[in-house]
Amino acid sequence: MNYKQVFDSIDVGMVVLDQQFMVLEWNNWMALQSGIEAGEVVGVSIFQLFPELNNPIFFRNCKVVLTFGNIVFLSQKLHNYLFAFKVKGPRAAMIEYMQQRCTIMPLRADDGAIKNILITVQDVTESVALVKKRKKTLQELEFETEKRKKAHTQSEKLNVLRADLLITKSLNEHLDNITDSVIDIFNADFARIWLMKTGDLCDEGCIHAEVRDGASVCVKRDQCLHLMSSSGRYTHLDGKGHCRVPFGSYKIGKIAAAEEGKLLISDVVHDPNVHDPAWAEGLGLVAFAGYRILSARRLPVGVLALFSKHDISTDDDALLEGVANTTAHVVLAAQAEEALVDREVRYRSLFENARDAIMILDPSGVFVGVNPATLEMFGFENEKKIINQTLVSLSPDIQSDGTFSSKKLIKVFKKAFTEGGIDFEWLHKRSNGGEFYAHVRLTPIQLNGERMMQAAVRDISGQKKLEEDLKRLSSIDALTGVANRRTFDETLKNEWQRLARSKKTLSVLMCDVDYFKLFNDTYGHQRGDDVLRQISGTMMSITKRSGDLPARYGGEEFTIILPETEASSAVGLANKLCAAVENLGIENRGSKVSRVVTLSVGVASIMPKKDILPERLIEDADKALYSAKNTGRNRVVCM
Amino acid sequence: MVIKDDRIFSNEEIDLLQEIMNIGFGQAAADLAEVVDIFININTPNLNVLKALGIGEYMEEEIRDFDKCSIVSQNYLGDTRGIALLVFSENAEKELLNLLPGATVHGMETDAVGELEKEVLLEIGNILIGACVGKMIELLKSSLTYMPPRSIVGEDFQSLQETFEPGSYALLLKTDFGFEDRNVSGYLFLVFSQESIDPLKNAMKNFMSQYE
Repeated sequence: MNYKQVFDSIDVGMVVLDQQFMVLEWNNWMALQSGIEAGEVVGVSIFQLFPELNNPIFFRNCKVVLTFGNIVFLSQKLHNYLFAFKVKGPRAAMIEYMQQRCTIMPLRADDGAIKNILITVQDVTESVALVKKRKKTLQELEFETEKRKKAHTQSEKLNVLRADLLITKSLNEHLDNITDSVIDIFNADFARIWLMKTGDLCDEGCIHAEVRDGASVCVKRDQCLHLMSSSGRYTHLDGKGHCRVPFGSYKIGKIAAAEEGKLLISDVVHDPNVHDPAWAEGLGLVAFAGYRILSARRLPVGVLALFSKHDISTDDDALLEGVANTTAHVVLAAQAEEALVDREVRYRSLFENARDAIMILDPSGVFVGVNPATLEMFGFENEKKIINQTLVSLSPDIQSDGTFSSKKLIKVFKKAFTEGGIDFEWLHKRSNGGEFYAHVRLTPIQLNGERMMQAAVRDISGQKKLEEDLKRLSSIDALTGVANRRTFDETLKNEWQRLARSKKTLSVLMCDVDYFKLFNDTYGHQRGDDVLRQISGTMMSITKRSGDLPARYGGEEFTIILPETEASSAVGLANKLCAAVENLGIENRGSKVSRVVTLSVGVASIMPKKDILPERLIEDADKALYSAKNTGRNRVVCM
Repeated sequence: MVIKDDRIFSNEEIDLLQEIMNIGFGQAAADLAEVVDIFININTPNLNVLKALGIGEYMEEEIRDFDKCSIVSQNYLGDTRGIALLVFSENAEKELLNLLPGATVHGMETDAVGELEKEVLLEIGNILIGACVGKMIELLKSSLTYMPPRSIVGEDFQSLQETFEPGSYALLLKTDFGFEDRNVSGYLFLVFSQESIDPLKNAMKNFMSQYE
């Protein structure tokens, strides 16, 4: 569709003006409304065609558009000078002008400079009419309400009440409406509604909780009736004795607990059920009526009760029972709604605010929805970046145990669906490529009737770090603080493989403390341990490269792994170590070669190969050490 | 709720953008006075980068000094996308009515006067927002299109932040303005969405290159 076609077919008037307000273009809509064809208006001033536009505000708005390049939106309310088009069609019998909304916008040349003005005219007559109609309807509704207020007979009034209870309002508003209506319709002195709040234990200070014996004892402390609404003589809800009534006690509690659905008292001054007859007499009260409010399963929910200064007729009684039933509907509907809203809110807020990433995936593992924590955890700006991707795209290709992420995911999904859920550890990948360990729980769920998978992902990289710390601690020799034998073996194996690939030399020093047994016998094991610690410290201080690994091989034997180190450098380091240990100057009277503690060191170097075992290097180093021991100790021998 | 995040804008970039806006607003004020006899004073804008979810809270905090206010909002889109909000002090509508020579409330019903006043706010808001944003965008050699202005009722900023992706950032600009000859003042807020940030950065680079 080309520009001209759009221009002509659009249901909006369009006029292009040059900066002198001469018409350059005029679309079909304008021709239709004005009855003037485009050919007749091009080159004519817009003010000549529509004199009403020739006013300061229109002029100003055009200048604003030309100066700032923005769009000015005009409404007819403010600009009653817009295009004077008459409304066409059936309403044309009465001369009516079209309601319009106009915009003035800039048209730019290729270089971006504002060249012309485009005016668009939209017919909003219909929508204005709708707005008017809505206003009228609202007025009618108000009138209807007025009419309701004038309802006279009891049944009329009850119908009004029932209709009102259908309107969406809060439960409290509904209950107030009911007690107000009872006062009005049945000419009661006061009317009240109590509702049970199961499991709501007595507040401190509830006067009924203090009653320990007699007919009014509070027997069921977890089933309290709360005064929800009160109309007539009393409107307050906080009277000490009335704000709560124990289930099974007093009139109200008894009505709630009784098998009988109601309690009618025709002479309140003399009835034993009324605990304060003098008060009733003083107020001139005559009759009392109380009705249970029952759930659909015929369980008590609350009580509706009233006192009146006249007898309650059988007709009134029947109608009041009806009101109690209506009240039950209102209460149950409100409770059901509350529970629903509660659940919704809870689920929603759980989803939205959960710190764990929660994702909904379809059975093939494609994301359908994720919570904000997911975006945060994986480093995505918005949901769009993640929807329609799969869990595989949030994982490295290979998991830490060497399996392929994609294959493993298919397996766990299947398992989760068949077993109803699964927990596992997973290596995840953030959008920036960073990897982290997560604990993942997959739970199959039904979402709008479809089978989906919910994945809750918790970042456990912190926990993993702790585990690594633990591992590191277990890899250290407790006495000396250098690596233990296990670490030595592992490191040697890894370095062997690594250097076999890169074809570089691996050297090992095997060190033994000279005459250490004699040292122990002379100075005791405590001092012996000190010596081992000091030697370890020396080893650590002379091995500066991060890849070098000093370790305790066992007893008084130490070793140092020196990756990428030629024999000559290894010997140099060994000599440095021997000198450093001698320089510690620890007296050893048992030594036959020195006054102080010394070391014998065997050095072995090799270029690791796949077909040679690393033990070969240890054997060589051991041989060299043996040779050092046999040739006078306190020396270095290299194989 | 204000976060400083260098990944989004460096301090230098914030300064530069602030300067560009300052120039733009200055020109807008000058042109408004010259072209349409609207005399406004506008201050140096203040820039912040916020999480989109915090916009509502931030706005409420920022306009606390107004007991009652009228707000005109206008969305714009193009290379950059965002919302402009003009917050007027109370009774601004009555003062501003005089800015429209043709409009008169004489002999009108109260209802109609209220609606007229609302329309006046929308129109003046439309012009002010268009002028300020337009000049700034012109300096950046970019272009925008505008949605019709709306008036916001009841300071409902929550609906405002829903315009933006929940996890995203937004660039929020605040400046205060006043009419020289009338007792009307208020704030102008511009909120740019996160996807505006890259185009804005590019535009700023181009802007700087003409001085190098």
